[in-house]
Amino acid sequence: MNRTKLIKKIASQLNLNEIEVGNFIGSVFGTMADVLRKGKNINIPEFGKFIVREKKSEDASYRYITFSPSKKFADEINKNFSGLSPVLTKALNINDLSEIKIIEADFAYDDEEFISFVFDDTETELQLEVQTPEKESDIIFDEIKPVPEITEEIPLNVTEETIEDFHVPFLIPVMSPIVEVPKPVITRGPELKKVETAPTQNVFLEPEIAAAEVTEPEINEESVQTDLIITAADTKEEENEKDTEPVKTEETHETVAAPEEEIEKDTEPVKTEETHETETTTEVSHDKEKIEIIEESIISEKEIILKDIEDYIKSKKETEEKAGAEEEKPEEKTDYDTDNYFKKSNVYGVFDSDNNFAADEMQNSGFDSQNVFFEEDFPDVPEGYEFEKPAEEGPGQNVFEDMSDIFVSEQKITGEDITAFTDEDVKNDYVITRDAGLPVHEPSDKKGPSLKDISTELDVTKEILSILASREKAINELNKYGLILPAEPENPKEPEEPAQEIKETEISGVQDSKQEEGSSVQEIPEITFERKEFPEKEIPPEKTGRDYDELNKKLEELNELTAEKESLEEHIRGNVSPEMTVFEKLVEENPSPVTEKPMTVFPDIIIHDPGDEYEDKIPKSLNDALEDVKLDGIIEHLEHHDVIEEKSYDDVFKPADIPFVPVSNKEFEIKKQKKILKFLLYFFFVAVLSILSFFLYKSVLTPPKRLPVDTLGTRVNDSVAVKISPVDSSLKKGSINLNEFEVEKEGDIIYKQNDNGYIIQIAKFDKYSDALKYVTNLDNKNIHAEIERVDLPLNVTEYRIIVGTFETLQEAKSYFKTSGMMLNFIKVITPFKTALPF
Amino acid sequence: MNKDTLINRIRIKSNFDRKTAEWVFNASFEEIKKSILKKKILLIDEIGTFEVEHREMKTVLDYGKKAEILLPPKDRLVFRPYGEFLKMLKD
Repeated sequence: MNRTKLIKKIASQLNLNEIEVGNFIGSVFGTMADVLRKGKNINIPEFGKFIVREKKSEDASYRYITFSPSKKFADEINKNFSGLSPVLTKALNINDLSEIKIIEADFAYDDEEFISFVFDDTETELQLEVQTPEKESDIIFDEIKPVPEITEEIPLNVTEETIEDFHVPFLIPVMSPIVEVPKPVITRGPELKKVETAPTQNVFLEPEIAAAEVTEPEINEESVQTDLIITAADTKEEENEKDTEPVKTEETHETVAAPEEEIEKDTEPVKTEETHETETTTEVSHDKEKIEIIEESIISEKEIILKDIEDYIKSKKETEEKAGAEEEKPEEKTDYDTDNYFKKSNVYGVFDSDNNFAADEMQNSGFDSQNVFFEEDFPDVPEGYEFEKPAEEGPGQNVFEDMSDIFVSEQKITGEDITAFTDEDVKNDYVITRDAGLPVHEPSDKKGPSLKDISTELDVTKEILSILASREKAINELNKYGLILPAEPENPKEPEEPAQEIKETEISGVQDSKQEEGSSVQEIPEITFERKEFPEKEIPPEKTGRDYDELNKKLEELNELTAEKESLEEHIRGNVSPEMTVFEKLVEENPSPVTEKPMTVFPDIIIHDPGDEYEDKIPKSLNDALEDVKLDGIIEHLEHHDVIEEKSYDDVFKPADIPFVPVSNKEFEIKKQKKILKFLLYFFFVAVLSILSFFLYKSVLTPPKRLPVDTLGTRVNDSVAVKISPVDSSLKKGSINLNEFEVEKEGDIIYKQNDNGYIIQIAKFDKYSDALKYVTNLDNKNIHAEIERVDLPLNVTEYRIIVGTFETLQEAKSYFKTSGMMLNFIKVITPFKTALPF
Repeated sequence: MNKDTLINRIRIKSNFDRKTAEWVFNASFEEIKKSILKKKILLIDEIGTFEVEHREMKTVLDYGKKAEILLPPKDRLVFRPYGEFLKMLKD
């Protein structure tokens, strides 16, 4: 809620002008700020208190604000845990207090803006200051500090510099919220070339090609017989190929068309070639021939390696140059559009006619959710939805397309032909893209690096490594025969000679000689073999010499590059996740203190003496005290002090011998209930006792009622206004005795004098019945009294109670003192003009 | 300073009578309370931020009682005044 919403709401609630309400609320907060600035506290009932406190440090003192919410409001906030209270879990036996040093208090807040809270039950400020519980003042709490949390946030905006270490693309879930995603920096590897780069194809003919090349020229027009023979041989070829395939890949192409029997007899066809060579050229020793052949193979391998190395270094340089160019122009560096990563347009999936993503339908169809979807994943497309083909410009530059590249390339790479995967193939394999009307990233001319490139790059490294392995094998063989590199450059063109000779030779007489040997057993039709020409390789003249030093240097470079590749490969395999690396970096940069010192080590405990300032912070309850502990940091953290002797937690705080049973909350509640019951019982007992005492008093102290004696017969003639006073019968009805006058007055008791002497007026009533009851009560107590009726002006009549006639005033007073105790009592319990029926 | 004096002081600046001013004052703080309880955080421009923080369960030692106490978790209201406001206070 912001201010405008608050103003509008209040204005609508109270039906007031919004501007006026806005001004008012603005002035509320403004005035509050001004008041607090002046150092005055603010108390808002049912909300809380803003208290300005002063903090004194060594250099200066300054003020800070604390806010304590009202009890009701605090309870509302803590409603989820309102039923919980602190629980004693363990009794401690702290005998050796010397282990605990007490030093001066330091209430300095680490963070000035950090505010402490004191929950108080009262609303007035006065009571807040007065409350200082005695018991809790002795309490000093030591907090076992929990493991500090890593407060530093991992920056969301990961820059290119930080992310460069990963070289790993993120797998992003479909339809995630739009966030700023670090762009994966991927260096483009060497592009995989076609069959030319395959090492085996340069040295040896590929089996399929060799077969094709053999079969085509076998159609000989010279003789029908040979045709027939060839056809017969063709039928056997298929069978032979199966058996000879593994041999063909390792051996020379000459054995491709060799019949089965021949292979069985001559397991090493190389030897058969050499036998022909020896017949035509010179005689060389058996070992030398072998060495020459191996040398030939090594040289050819070297050429391939060198070529691969050159290609690789070229491509590496190109990538470096590209990377350098991209660094210079960071804006043009990548074609990834991070803003559009999560847009619908970049998500491959099924969409309906209204361009809604059919996620529910996909899940209902049992499809396991992936980031990229293909047509194969949706055997049954739900009704109303259709797949959309990608745009004509082919795969874009976003993550999803790259991921799909990987998926497709995986399928392709698993096959034999690595180079079969092209952009067009990928395009055809793509199933769904769409334009949802959202801004779509337009691919730029410069194509950014894609995951496909990395996968191909890895394949290149694999190939190179395999070449290196074969090279090592060949060198080992050379060493086996005593040939040490670098050897003397004797006849550099020597290895070419047997190859040229092989090209010219025709294996024609071999079969004849063998046939002669086995003619006695069975007849085999004549077969003529034409030797296929070996594809010529143009070896550069500078590399025909055994320039092993240069080669070795390049190989070292290659090894370095392969090491880099391996590291890259590890990243791509996902062994190291980017989040983990970020986390590890953070941990390295900011080692947590807890990890340095284990929690089991418990050095000297240092407790701060609260001092004078503690008065302001004396807690009102256990909860508050414990709360303050955390805020104020009463105990200085242990890690700032040198460890003299390592002590465990149990060494310092030994468990008490008496088993301690933790008190549960229920028992506390039961105790409370018992207290309330006790109080109710006591109250009930007191009430019953007071009622009983009242009735006892009434029954014992008060005499039984007696009927009044109507001596004058006035009861009968109550309505008749008569002179009833027996004191002076001469008085006329309704007249005032003028001779009677007041002598002395003591409160309501009036001493009067008339012609006969002195009389005492005890009381007066408006009603005659009340006066009569009063007189009868006096009679019961042996006090003789009379009623005197006096008619006053304005038709007011008084009935005065008069006692005696005394000769002197003193006599009247003495009489009143002796018997006046009872009169006074009656006077007390029967107020003036409201006589009670005694 | 209590609520009445605060309202009186503010009322001078506004056109509201005493009763209306009190209504608006009470209603505004009621809304603030509701907002804090609902959204767990509230920002007031001139003063600072109110935020509901959660304190996790922890163990403490009570030397007076010689006991170890397990404190329950708790949600509490924290007020953080603005830095500028604190600076003004210090001045």
